[in-house]
Amino acid sequence: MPPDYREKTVRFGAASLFGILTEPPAGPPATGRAVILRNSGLLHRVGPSRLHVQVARRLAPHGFSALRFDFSGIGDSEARRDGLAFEQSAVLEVKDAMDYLASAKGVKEFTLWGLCSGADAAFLSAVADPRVTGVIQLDAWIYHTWRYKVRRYAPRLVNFKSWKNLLTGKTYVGPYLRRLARRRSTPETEPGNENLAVSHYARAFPPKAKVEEMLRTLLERRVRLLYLFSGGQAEHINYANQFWDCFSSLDAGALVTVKYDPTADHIFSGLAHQELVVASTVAWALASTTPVATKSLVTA
Amino acid sequence: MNPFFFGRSERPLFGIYHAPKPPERGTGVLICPPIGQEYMRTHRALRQLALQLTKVGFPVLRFDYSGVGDSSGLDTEASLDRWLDDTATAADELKDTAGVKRIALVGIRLGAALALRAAERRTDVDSVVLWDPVVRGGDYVGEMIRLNAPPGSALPPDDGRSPMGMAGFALTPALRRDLEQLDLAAAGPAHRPRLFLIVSEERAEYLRLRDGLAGLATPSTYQHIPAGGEWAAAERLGAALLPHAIIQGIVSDLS
Repeated sequence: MPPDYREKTVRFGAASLFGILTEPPAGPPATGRAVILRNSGLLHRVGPSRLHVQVARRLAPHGFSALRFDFSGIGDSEARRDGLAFEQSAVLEVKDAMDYLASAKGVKEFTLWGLCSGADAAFLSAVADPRVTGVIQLDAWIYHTWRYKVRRYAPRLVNFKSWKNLLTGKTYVGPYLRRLARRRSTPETEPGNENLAVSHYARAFPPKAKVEEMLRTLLERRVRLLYLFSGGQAEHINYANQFWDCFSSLDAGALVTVKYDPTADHIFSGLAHQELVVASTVAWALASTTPVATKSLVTA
Repeated sequence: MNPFFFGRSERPLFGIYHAPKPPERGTGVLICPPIGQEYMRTHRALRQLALQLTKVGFPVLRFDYSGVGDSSGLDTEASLDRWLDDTATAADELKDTAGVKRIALVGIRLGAALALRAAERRTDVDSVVLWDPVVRGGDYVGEMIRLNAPPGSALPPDDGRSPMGMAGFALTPALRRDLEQLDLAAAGPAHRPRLFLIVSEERAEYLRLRDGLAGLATPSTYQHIPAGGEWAAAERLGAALLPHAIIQGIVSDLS
């Protein structure tokens, strides 16, 4: 039985980027919509646990096109020669991808999909380009709330043994302080180990006010957003309603869907967690063709 | 670089053909990648290897097995036989595309085991490079499953029905049984091609394979080139591997 999608290799943009376009078996959809899957860190277009491939192929039978491609210098795309920083080139290259799909396939509306650094860049690209009408972010930027802090620190504060150990000197804090200092000074590359390459993209969280402002811009444009949060960034999120508490000043309800699964790791590597991501993406894409009536909050 | 889909229409495989720089050699090189997280970690390195090989005149084909990377299929449909079939399909595609009659196979990790087994079924393979090969499939399964498991935990039992997670990829009971029967050091056919065993660290299983190969009439070499494989180290899962010395070693061996 032939696959229920069709795929072709594509090249586009000034940097001759390489990607694979997945389409419904009958050809480009008449909806004029496409999903663009962005690299996460150094991982090539296949995505962690082959997530990008799974998402693209599960969307196709429902009438969506999906493009997974490699940014310059990643996977099978050549490195740029103009010296642009990744944060700048990534936005330009997503624009290249949208320009290609618009001219070659008549796509008018785009959804950007990304995990971690890919989520950050998808968000920034959406702010920069009005053709983006949807953003799907896995482990996106999120900020501490009072409730986050209570959940994180309260168990230690009320633990009598913790206090006793600290006060009696049984808890030696030196190693913790040293570990903290080491973490702060850890370089993004690994000098002296030429056999391992790590991403030049050091993930930085912008000030919350900046993200809130950009989010407001997207909501004013009626951009729909799907947020999937894992338990893999527990240093940033630890409860299901945190997104809504964090951005409570925004009237986001009708356009934003949030899911939080504390059992998932950062790349959603568990088989059930992969299915959660793929099924959520497909369901969200299908629902995005009709107006969303109410705030959608689901806790796995 | 020429990316394309090839093979059967109901099960297309993804490949990238790298044309050689002149003067061209009469032997094509097929690169057999690992699977799972190791496939992700080595992607850039195998691209570099292909580019280096083309510079010395080899036409090169990189490809993905069914259910892996950009090829069609699901990882839940995988089997060693299917991957061997894919390897044979890719080898034939390389010969057709490059117009060569002889080939060499370069395999990494499980790809090395597949390359050797595939070569044993053919008569057009001059040499096989085994880079950090999976020697005993059972050991490999244990290492990969434990990457995501709490330290010291026992391997989950095979219930004969459900796939289990193997560092982000599905391991079906059928594939697990296939792998657990794999022992590369077990004697193969007498017409094995020339073998190059290249290892990034000296492990007992590599030495056992080396000693086993030394007893064969087929010429073989063993090289230890220290480079950061650390395949069983969970903290290395997100790090791409770019072992320049091993890449140069392989190019040198095949040249």
